[in-house]
Amino acid sequence: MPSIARIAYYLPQNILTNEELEKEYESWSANKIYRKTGIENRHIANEEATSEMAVKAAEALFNSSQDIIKDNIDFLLLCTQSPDYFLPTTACLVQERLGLKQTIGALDFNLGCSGYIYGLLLATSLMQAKHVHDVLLLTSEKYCRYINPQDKSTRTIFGDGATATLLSETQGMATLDAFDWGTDGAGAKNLIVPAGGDALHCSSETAKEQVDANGNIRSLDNLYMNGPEIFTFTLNTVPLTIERVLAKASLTMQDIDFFVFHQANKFMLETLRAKLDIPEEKFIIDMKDYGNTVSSTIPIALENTRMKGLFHNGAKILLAGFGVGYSWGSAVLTWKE
Amino acid sequence: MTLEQKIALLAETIETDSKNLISTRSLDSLDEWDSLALISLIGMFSKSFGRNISVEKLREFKIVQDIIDEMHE
Repeated sequence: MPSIARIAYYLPQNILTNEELEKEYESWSANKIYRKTGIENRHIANEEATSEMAVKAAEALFNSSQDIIKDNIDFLLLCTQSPDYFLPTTACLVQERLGLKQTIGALDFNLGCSGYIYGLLLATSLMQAKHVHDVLLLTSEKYCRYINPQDKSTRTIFGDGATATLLSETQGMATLDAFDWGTDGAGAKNLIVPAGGDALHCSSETAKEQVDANGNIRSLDNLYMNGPEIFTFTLNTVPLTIERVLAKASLTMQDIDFFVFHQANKFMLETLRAKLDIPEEKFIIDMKDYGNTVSSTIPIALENTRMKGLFHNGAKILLAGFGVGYSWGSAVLTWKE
Repeated sequence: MTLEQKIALLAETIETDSKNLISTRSLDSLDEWDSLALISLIGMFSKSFGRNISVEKLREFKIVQDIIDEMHE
């Protein structure tokens, strides 16, 4: 049965604290930033490329256990929205740097906060089709390169980082039991970098900075997030995907021991928890020292919770990722350690 | 929920003083009325009234009373 064998992650050395942000944003104290986001620190990649972070996360994975044999990996999936180049594919660069064999498949897929769920789904499907045995799933994201330093709506929330998950057909610490997924491109405009692709090429015009109604400054080359729209999308969509994935797994809310959602921000998660009536002790919140690392939040939270020893043998864990696209997905795992 | 309770909840939600929330007060005149306030209101409507309020509806709010009128299950 397709399983998660192991998870590791990498965070850049450079840290951006609330105290540093307080000095830049007159009306926002460090305390207010923490109260509103649940975040104290974010790791910022600066010059470090997305591929470098992905390689470091994979190396951390390989170093975490002697049981991991690189040559057993048949496929490399890399989730990113900040690739090193338009082309070639970042996963191809990573294959070479990691010294993975040349008979593997390697591809990038462009998703954000739902990306980890889709990566698990793709890996599981490749295994179930008997094409592969072991899959290396990497998430590596560097939103800092898109964020305008004067846009507090995004800079206070997002952090950079990368994760590596080894999936195996035969053994692991958690089986992948059920998935649900969904897409609504009507929400594309609410979380977007408008310029830089083919729809709008970067130019001196797109680089012009403008002040929005909330005093945030950004250009069309920067990341834009419509926070209220993203929040309502989340409240409308997440309960439905949870209902569907539970039905596919023939489980109820009460059967789930832990809920590990995309760590968007603490306020959003607390509102979702209240709406879904999930007990606090079953609901993982783990973003204080990383921020919203996009496709990396779920594997980071899973690995940290595993290291704390909270997952017991047989525990049912529900994952949900949601955001840019709009795109969302959920999964049910059974812990086996 | 009484009117006083609603005003207290609204004040807590958008982090302002209850004294600022006179029913006819224009929301644009409140220093605290920004996108963060909208996000906080979405959370309040969900948690306290079990309602998913749309951003279009939030943008229709002009004065304090407009919000109070929507504070029900």
